[in-house]
Amino acid sequence: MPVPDFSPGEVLTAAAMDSIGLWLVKTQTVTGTPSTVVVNDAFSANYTNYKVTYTDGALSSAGDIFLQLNGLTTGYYGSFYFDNFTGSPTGVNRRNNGANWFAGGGSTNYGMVNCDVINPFIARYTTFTMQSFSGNEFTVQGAGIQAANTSATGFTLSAGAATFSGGTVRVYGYRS
Amino acid sequence: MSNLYIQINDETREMTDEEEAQYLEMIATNEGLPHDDK
Repeated sequence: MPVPDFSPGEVLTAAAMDSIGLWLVKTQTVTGTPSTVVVNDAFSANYTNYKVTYTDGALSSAGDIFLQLNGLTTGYYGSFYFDNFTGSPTGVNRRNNGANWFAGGGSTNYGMVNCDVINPFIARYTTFTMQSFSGNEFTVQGAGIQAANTSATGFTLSAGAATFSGGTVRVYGYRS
Repeated sequence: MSNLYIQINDETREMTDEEEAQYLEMIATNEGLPHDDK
């Protein structure tokens, strides 16, 4: 499939549109100061894999952001490696039948989630990868799995002891 | 009602006591984080 090269006023063909690899399927603006943001109707049979982002906002304090698939409260496994750029502390935040994955972080100056959710809609285990900055000093990267052969159509982002302040959650579908 | 807020789709409101309990239980499983998120 060629790379799309559209011109102003051009009639877009189905073939041209079908060649677009990443499609914005959901945008949800964060309002107020919630501790947790529930996003419904994000995953469907239209796409197998998804990118989830949270941008343009901030947290009430330096902290981490977690992601839980809606309807799946346990069965999360994975390892999320973090490093303080000053050299200490460095460590691993693990999930062994936990309740969420480590998804991102923020401070009073920013908020960031940039992760991929693999196979959430079909009734197989869902996997997850992420890389993010968190708080004022940490870089975090990791991956995980949710061990249930269950379909999920949405997810919840939570800010731990902090709250979200504005920002936008976006969900993109990868064309198969 | 809780003093914590939840946003579901486009609506933000206070959590119910049940929602707050679920939320606290969810974040309680997090150990060894770079930040104290509880």
